[in-house]
Amino acid sequence: MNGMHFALFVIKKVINLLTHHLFPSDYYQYSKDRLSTMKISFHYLLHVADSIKNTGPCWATWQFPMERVCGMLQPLAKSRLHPYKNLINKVYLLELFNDLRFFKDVHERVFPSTSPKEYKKHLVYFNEDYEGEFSWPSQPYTLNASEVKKIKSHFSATENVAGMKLSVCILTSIVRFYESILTVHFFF
Amino acid sequence: MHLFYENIAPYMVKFWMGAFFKDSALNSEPYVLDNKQWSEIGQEMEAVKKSIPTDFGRPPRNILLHHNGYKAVEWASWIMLYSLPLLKGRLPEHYLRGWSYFVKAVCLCQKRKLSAQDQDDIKNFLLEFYNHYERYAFCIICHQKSH
Repeated sequence: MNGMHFALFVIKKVINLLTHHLFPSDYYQYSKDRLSTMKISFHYLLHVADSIKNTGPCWATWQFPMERVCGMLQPLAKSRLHPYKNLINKVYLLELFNDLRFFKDVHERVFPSTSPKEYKKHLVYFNEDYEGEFSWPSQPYTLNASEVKKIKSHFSATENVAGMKLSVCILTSIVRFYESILTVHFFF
Repeated sequence: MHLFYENIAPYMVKFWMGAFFKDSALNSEPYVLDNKQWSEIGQEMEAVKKSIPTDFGRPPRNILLHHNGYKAVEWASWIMLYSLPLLKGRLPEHYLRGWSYFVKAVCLCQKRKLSAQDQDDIKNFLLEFYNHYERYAFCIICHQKSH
């Protein structure tokens, strides 16, 4: 370092110290008491760019898949006395189940195949442009007495009929309601 | 990414909550937000829960109450989406700027493809954040680089 460089160096150092005293307001602040702020993880930040250069973007080396595996293994170890033996046995057992599919008749007996749930035609929405189809959730439901009473009073108020005609009226209303759902289905 | 989400972000939140040092005298710095401000931030996060689009991932949890149980994904969205707007006007401008370098670097690291420019940006932003954190002689480093 020649004289000129040294002078520059000193000037910069002085400027830096001055700014440090003018704005003494960061996390470490160059003070001995606050040394515990300089955790190793803050130093690692400086290596991130280099490791990206060496090993590719972050998604190639990040921790998420490993954490996922840990999350799978953790509930497998049930024994407190011999957790590692227990874990090994469990993993081994699971692997055996994985291999079972190469023995078809045994596999069929252990895991009998279930047919997929079939939906009624009006509950399925499909479109020629798409491969998949939507199945509407449905469930049979019987009204209890108080609900029937409430519905009756609602319809007698809205349709302005009373007494005997009411049941017919409810039927037509329900049909109308059902139709509107159908149109929603098919012209979605 | 463990470094960003599970180390740096919780440390910084601890700083701002005034809980980093055991010695409470060291914690009284201008970057510390008081409890009232933090509970306001937490309430704002709770309030936005219902209206946050699912595309943004999990809805935010109150950071004051749940920051110990935060998952990596929640830290990620805290860094990239919520921290800057929520801390703006609460944290002094100077610290917010320092933190924003880190936010920019993390956002770049999330990208699927990184150009050479992106890599340089990541390096520079992290260095800026580090310098802000440490307040080390940035001039000297620049000086050495120029050789």
